[in-house]
Amino acid sequence: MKSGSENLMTSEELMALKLRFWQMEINEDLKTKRFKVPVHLGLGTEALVVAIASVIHPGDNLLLTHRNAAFNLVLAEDPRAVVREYDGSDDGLAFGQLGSMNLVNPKSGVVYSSSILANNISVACGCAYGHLISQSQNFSVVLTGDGAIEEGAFYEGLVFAKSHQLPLVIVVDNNDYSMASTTSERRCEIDLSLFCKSIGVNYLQLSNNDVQTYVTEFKSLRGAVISSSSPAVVEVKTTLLNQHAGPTPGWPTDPMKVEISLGLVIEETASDPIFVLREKYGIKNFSRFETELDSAKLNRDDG
Amino acid sequence: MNQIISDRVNQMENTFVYGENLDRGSFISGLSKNLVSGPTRLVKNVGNCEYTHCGVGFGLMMSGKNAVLFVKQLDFMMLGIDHFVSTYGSIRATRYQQPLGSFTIVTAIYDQGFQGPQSSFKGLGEICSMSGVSGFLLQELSDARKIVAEEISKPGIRFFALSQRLANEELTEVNIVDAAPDNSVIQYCSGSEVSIVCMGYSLARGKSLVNLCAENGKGASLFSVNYVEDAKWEIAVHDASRTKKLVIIDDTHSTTSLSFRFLTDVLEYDAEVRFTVLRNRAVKSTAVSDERFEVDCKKVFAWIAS
Repeated sequence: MKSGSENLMTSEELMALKLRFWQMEINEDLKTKRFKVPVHLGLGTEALVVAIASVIHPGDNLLLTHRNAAFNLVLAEDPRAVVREYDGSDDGLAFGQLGSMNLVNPKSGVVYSSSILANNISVACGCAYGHLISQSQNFSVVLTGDGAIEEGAFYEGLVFAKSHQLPLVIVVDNNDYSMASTTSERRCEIDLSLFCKSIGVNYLQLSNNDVQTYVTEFKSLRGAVISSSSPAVVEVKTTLLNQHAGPTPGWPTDPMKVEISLGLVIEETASDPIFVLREKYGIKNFSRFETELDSAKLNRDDG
Repeated sequence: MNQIISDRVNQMENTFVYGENLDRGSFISGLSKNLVSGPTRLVKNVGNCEYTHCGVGFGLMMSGKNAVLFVKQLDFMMLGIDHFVSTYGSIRATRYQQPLGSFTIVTAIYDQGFQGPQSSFKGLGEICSMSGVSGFLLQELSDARKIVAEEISKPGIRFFALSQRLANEELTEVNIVDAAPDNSVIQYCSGSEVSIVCMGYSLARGKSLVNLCAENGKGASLFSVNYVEDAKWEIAVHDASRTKKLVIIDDTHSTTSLSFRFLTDVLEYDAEVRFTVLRNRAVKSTAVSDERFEVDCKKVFAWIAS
C-alpha cells in the first residue's frame, strides 16, 4: 500500500479505473437488452487495454477482434460515441455503420476489427508493411487470443511478419476460453514461447495485471520493435470476468453476476486488475478514486 | 500482356509488389517479368501463404499504400475468400481518414481443362459476386491496355485475370469504340442488325460471329463484359434496344452468370428485344477434359438473319 504523495494514481491507472466503470455501465445496459448489436466487454482486461492504448502514437495502427469495446472506449475522444454506435445512431463512433464487433476508429489508430479468428493478423502484416514502405517510425499492434492461435492464419501471419522483418506486435490475450471451451477442453497445450523461439520472434509474457508494469513493458517493446524492425509476440494472461458477450444463451449468470452498485472490484484476487490497483493504493484511497468517477459517467443526462 | 502490366506497375509509388516465385523460374508464367523495385516500390518473392497474401493487400490498402499480388492461378485465391468477403466488407463500411490504397491481384484462370480436378476453378464471377470485388478479363491488347491503365491505381480491390486456354492464341489489337465508365462493358464495333455481348473469355467467338455477319452484309455491335458490382452497362443495354436482336455468348459454367442479370436488364428496358443465349452447357467435368467452347456461327447467323 502506498501513502502520502504516492496516493496519486498515474494517468494510466486512472484510465483503467474509468474503463472498468464504463464497462460496468454498459454491462447494466446489456442487462436491460438496450442494444440490438452483441457487445463483447473486456472486464478483466483493463491493464492490458490501457497499456496498449498508451503506446499507440499518431501513424500507428491497432487491429482488434470482436472484443474491442474496451479499446474503443479508452481511445475514443468521447467514449459516449461508442455507446451511441451500439445504439445505431448517426452520431455514433462509426456513424452507426459498424455496430460493435467490427467497430473501428481510424482517427485514434483503430483501423480494423474482425470477429473472424486470426483474420486480422495478415491484415496487420499489410499495415506494418505500410510503415516499411513509408519508412516511418511507426508500428502496428494486433490483438488475438488463445482460440485464434489454433488457426493456421496465426502461423502464416507470424512467419510472414518474421520473414519480412515487420514492425508488428502480436498480442495474444490468453483468457483460456474460446466461447464456452477452455483450452484443455479443446486442444493440446501450445507453448508460444517455444513456437516464437523456433522462428526467431521475440516473446514476452505478462500476467500480474499491474497497469504500470504493463505500460512500461509495452513502451519498451514499441521502441524495440521499431528500432529493430522485427516482430514480437506478447502473451498476456487474463481472466475474462464477464465470460462471453452479454446475455448470451448458454451463460445464464452472465452478465447478471456483475453489479455496478457493488463497486468496481469484481473478483477479490489478482486476476482482477482493479483488485490489484486497490491493493496497491489501499481501500480508503481507492474509494476516493471510485467516488470521483461519477463525473465520467457514460449515461450522463447532459450528453 | 506482361509488358502492359509491368510498364504500369513500374510507374507506381508506395507499392508492394509480391507473389510466389515472381522473380525467378517461369516468372509466374511470364506474368511477373521486368518488375523493378524503386524508392517506395518493393518487389518481393514471398512464401506460400495465400490467405496471408490477401490480408496483407487489404492492410496496405487501408494504410493508403498500394499492393499488386501476382498469383499463378485463380484456384489459390479460394484461400482468400474470407478476406474478399469479410475484410473487404468491413473496409467498405468504414470511413477512413485517408484515401484507401489500391489492391490488384493479377492471375490466370486455368480453364483449358487438362490441369486436373484440383486446378480447374474458373469461377471468378462467383468470387466477384459474393464479395463485391471487381474482376477484369484481359483478352485483347487494346482492352488490357485500357483496363490496366485506368483500374490498377483506383482505391479498392480488383482482379486482372487471363485465360490459360487462350495463352497460345495470338493477341490482337481490337479497336475500342466505347466503354462504360467503370469498364464493366467494352464495345469493339457498332452495327445496326444485332448486338453481340460476350461473357467470360468468349470474345474471340464473338469476333468470329461479327466477321460472318460482315461477310453477309449484316452490321453487328460487339461487347465484352467484366465483373463489376452495379455495372454501368447501359451502352450495351441501349444498343440491344436499338438493334432489337441480342446474342449473348457465355463460356462460363456458372449458375450465377452475369448473362442472366444482363438479359433481365435488357428486357426490363425493352421487352421487345429478341434474344438467344449461347452458353457452355457441357456438364462441368471434375475429370481431365477439353474445356473448349465452340459456337456454331452459321447456325447463329441464320437466327440473326431470320
